[in-house]
Amino acid sequence: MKERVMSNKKHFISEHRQMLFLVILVLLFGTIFSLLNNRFLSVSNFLTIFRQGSVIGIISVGAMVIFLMGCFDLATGAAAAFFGVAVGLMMEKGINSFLAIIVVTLIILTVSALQGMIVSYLNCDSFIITFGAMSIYRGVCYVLTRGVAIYDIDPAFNWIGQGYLFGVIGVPVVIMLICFGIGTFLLNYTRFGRRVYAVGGSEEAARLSGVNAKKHKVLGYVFCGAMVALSGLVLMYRVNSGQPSAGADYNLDAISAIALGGVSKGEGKIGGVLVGVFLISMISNGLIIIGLNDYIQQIIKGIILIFALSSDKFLNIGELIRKKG
Amino acid sequence: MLVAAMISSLSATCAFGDSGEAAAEPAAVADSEETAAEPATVADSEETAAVGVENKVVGISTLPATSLTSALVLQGIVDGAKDKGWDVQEAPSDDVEGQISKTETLIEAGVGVLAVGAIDNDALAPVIGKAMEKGIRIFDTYNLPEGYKDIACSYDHYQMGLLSGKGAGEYAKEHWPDEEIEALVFTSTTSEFWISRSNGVVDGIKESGAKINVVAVEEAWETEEALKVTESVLQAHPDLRMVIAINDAASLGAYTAMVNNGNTDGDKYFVGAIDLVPQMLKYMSQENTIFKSGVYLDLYQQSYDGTQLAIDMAESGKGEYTEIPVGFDYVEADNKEQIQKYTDLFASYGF
Repeated sequence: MKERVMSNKKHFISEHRQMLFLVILVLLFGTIFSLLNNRFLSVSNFLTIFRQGSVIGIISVGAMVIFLMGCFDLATGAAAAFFGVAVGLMMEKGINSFLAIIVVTLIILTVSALQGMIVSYLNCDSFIITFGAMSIYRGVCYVLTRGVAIYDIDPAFNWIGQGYLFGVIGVPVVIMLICFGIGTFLLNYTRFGRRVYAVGGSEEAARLSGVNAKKHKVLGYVFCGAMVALSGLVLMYRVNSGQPSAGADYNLDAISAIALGGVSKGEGKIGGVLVGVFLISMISNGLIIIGLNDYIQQIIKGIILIFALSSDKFLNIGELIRKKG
Repeated sequence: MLVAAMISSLSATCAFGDSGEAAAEPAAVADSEETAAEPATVADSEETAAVGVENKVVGISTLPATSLTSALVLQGIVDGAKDKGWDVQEAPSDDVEGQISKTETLIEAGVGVLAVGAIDNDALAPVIGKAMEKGIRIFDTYNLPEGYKDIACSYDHYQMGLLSGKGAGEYAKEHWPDEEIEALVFTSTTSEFWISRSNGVVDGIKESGAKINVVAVEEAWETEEALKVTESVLQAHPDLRMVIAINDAASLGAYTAMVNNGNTDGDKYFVGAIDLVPQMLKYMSQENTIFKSGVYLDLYQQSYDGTQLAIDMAESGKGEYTEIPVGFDYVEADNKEQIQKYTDLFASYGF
C-alpha cells in the first residue's frame, strides 16, 4: 500500500514536474518581491498582474496550438496592433462597430489561413513566413495611420478592456481565462486536439495513421488568428486606442510563456502556459513594485527567464547522469 | 518614441553646443573614407555641382513615423518640398545600419536635399559627408556633428523637461500647498533625449520647491507600457497623485491607468506630459480633468521651413549655415484659449 502511494507520488511528480517547477518559481519570486515590498502580496496586485498579462495570455493560447505542431507565429503582436488600427479607422469613418470588428477579424483569419497554407502545403519555414507577415502587418499599420494612433474608438465596448466583473476581476482577465478554457477543451477533449499532439509528436507517424497534418496546421493557424484578433480587441480597449506600434514584444513574450509552461513539439499542458504567462507578468510587475532601476530590471528579467527555461533541462541532465551512474 | 526621435529630428533649438559635444571629429570621415576628403562645409559645397538638384527630390532619412509628433515632422518636410515643386523619397529606418544603407541609396538615387534625423549621429556622419561632397544639401532634424549639415535643428530636451517639471511643481504648490504629493516620472533608456527629458522633469520639480516626492522614475514611452507601469506603481504607491510622462503616447497610457483606478478627480490628481497631440487636448478640455498639461513643439513649421530653406540652397547653390530654432510652449488645461488655439492648429495641419 505504502509502495503504491509512493509510486503514485513519483508518477504525479514526474507527470507535473514542469508545472511544479513553475509554481515553485512563482512562489519563490513572489516571496522575494513580497519581502522587498509588502504591497506586492495583495489581491488587488495579483488581479493587476493577471490583467497586465491578459493580452499575452490570449495570444499564448493560440500560439501554443501551432507551437505544439512545431510551428511559430511571429506576426501575433503586429496582427493585434493591426486589429486596433483597422477597427479604429473604420469606427472613425462611422462604420458600425460590430461590423468593423467582424470584418477585421475575418481579414486576420484569412491571413492566418494563408500563413498556415504556405507553411504546410509549400513546406516553408514558419519562422520566415510569419516574420514576413509581421512586416506586412506593421507596414500596413503605419501606412493606414501615418504613425498616428487612432483614438475615435466606439466607447460602447470600453468594458472589454476596462470593465470589471463583480467590480473586482478585470474583464480582460475573464476573457483570457475563457480562452484558456476553450484551449483546454480543444486540446484535451476533441479529436482536433489529439491530432495536434500527434502531428507535433511525429508528423510522419500521424500521416501514416490517417491524420491530415497539413490541414491541421492550417486549422491551427486559423485558431491562432482568432485568438490574436480577440487579443487585438482587448488591447484596443485596454489602451483606449488603436496603436500602430503596439505589441512589438508580444510574439516573444507569448513564446517565452509557452516555453516556460513546458510546451514543446507534441508535448505540454495548457495549464503550464497559464502559469508561464502569470510568471512573466509577475516578474515585470514585481520588479517595478520593488522599485528596481530599469537597467537592472532588464538584466534580472533576462536572468530569470534563462534560469527558468534552462533549469528543467539541468534537472534532466542530473537524472540522466544518475541513471548512467 | 520614434516620435521623440523624429522630434529631435526636426526640432530644434539647434543646440550647437550639444552637437559639438556629440560630434565625431570631422577627421573621422577622412579616416573612414579612402578619399580622405574633409566633410564638405557649406562653403565647399557651394562650389560643388549639386548632382541631384535637377531631380528635384528631397530624400528623407529618419526613424519611421510612429506617432503624431513624428508624423508632424514628416508632414512638414513633405509639404515644404511639395510647395517648392519638389518630390520626396522617404526611407525610414529604425536601426543604425539600416539608416546608413538607406541613406547611401538615397544619395545614389540622386536626391538634391537630404532631410536627416540620425539614429546615431556619429555613425551616420561619414555617409552625410559623402552626400555633401556630391553637393547634396543637408537638413539636419536632430543633432549631426558640426560640419555635416547646411541647416540644423535640434532641441534642448532637458529644457522641455525642466519646463514640464516646473509646471507640475507650480501646480502642486498652488493647489496642494500643505500636502506631500507622490509622483511618478517616466523615462526611457532607449535614447539620450528621453533621458534628458526625464532628468529635466525631475530637476524642474525640485527647482519649483513643491512638496513632491518622486517615488519612481520608470521606463515607458509607449501607451501600453505606460499603462502597465502606472498600474504597477499604483499598487506599490496607492497614494500616487501625479504622473509626468516624457511623451504623448506614454501620457495617454498613464491617464487611462489613473482613470481605470478611479483617480478621476481633477482636484486631486495630475497627469502631465511633454509633447502635445489632439487626444491630449481633448482630455485637457474636459471638465475637472486630471490631464493637466502638455508641451507643444512647433515641429511642423520647423520642418517645413527647414526643408524649404534647404531646397533654396540646393537650387541657388548658395547659402550660409542656418539654425532654425524650435518654439515650444507649456500648455495647461486651465487655459482654455491655449487649448482651443492648439486644437485649431492641429486641425489646420490635417490632424
